[in-house]
Amino acid sequence: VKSFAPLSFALLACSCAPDPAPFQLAQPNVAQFAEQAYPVLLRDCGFPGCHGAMDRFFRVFGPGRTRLSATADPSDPASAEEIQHSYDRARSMIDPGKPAYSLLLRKPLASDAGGAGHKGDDALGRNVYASTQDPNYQTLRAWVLAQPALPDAGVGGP
Amino acid sequence: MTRVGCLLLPVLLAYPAAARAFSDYELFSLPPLEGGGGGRFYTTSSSDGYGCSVCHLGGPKPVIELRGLPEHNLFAGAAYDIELVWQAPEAAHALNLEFVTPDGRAAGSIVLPDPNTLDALDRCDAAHPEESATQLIEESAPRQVLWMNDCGARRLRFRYIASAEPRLMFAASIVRTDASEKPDGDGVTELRRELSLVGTETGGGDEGCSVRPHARAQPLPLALLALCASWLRRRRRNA
Repeated sequence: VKSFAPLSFALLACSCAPDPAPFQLAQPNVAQFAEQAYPVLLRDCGFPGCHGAMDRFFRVFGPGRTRLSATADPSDPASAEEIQHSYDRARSMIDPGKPAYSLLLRKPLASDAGGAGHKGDDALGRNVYASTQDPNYQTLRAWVLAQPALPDAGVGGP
Repeated sequence: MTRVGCLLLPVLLAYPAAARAFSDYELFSLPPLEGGGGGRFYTTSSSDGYGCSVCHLGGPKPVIELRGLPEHNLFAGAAYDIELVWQAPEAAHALNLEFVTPDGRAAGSIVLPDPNTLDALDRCDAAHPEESATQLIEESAPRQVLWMNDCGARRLRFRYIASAEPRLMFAASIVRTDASEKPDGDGVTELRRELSLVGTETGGGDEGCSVRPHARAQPLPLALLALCASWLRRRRRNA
């Protein structure tokens, strides 16, 4: 019993350690998303063969693309559910501690412009945005960076 | 089924209630919130690298024969009569194509044939008698995108006037539709050709129906002729 005492004490000490800060989702502006970021995501990401596919984590639904409702006509306006679903998936790609380092901004950007980790190259092997100067990229960036970084968000890139 | 129902069924099948996605060329330039492409034309060119395959998938890929487009030795200002023919004429095909420079600017110009010269292969089928099979999309300016409707035409013909750009690209994205009005079940083939003007690329013979403004010197036959003449002269001298 004596030989197990230090181990038991160590386990007890570990179990009493304070929990790490809970992960916080970013809270970017919903109206700005619907008016500015959502049309860009629809245009450049939400194709049925890409981020309009049901088996993808990051999904964007809406007019002219995959519809959330099977009964919606392709040309029907975006529903509130489609915007909310797209917003939730998009904000989950935002690093609340370091928004500029968010996957939402790095994935679609060319690697020589600072992007990384996207497999959806075009037919010529290029990523969605060649540079940070692309107007659509800047729209996404403006939406992501409009919210202040959360200092204790629990995650963060280099 | 009643007799009236039997009579109405073919009519209802011929006119589906839902619009065909992107079957109207104007959709490509409409804002995304209106279901449009937001200025994307999906040709897979250097100015628009994503093709129709981002939406249309799951079906057999169309097999396309491209005629009349020489890959090398284009002449600036010359006219080339281009033809695209598909091996499954029973299936409706749609496409977008363009000619661009490597940095994505329009290269040369596309001219559609006089409507009076079109025959049945070039036109929409009997189910779409009022529709136009092809359209140059004005909204694609300064690019020039040629769109073809999936209305049953069995080939595409147009004339290309080559630009003075030394290097250019032909890019086309072609959809073979399953007529389901949905993008799944369709197949896509993407055609891209790197083209070059005469004098900027070696190799590759002249093909197609080019109208050449200049004759081109052929250095190899001339050199062979000179060699033969020299050999004959030497042989005569030795004799």
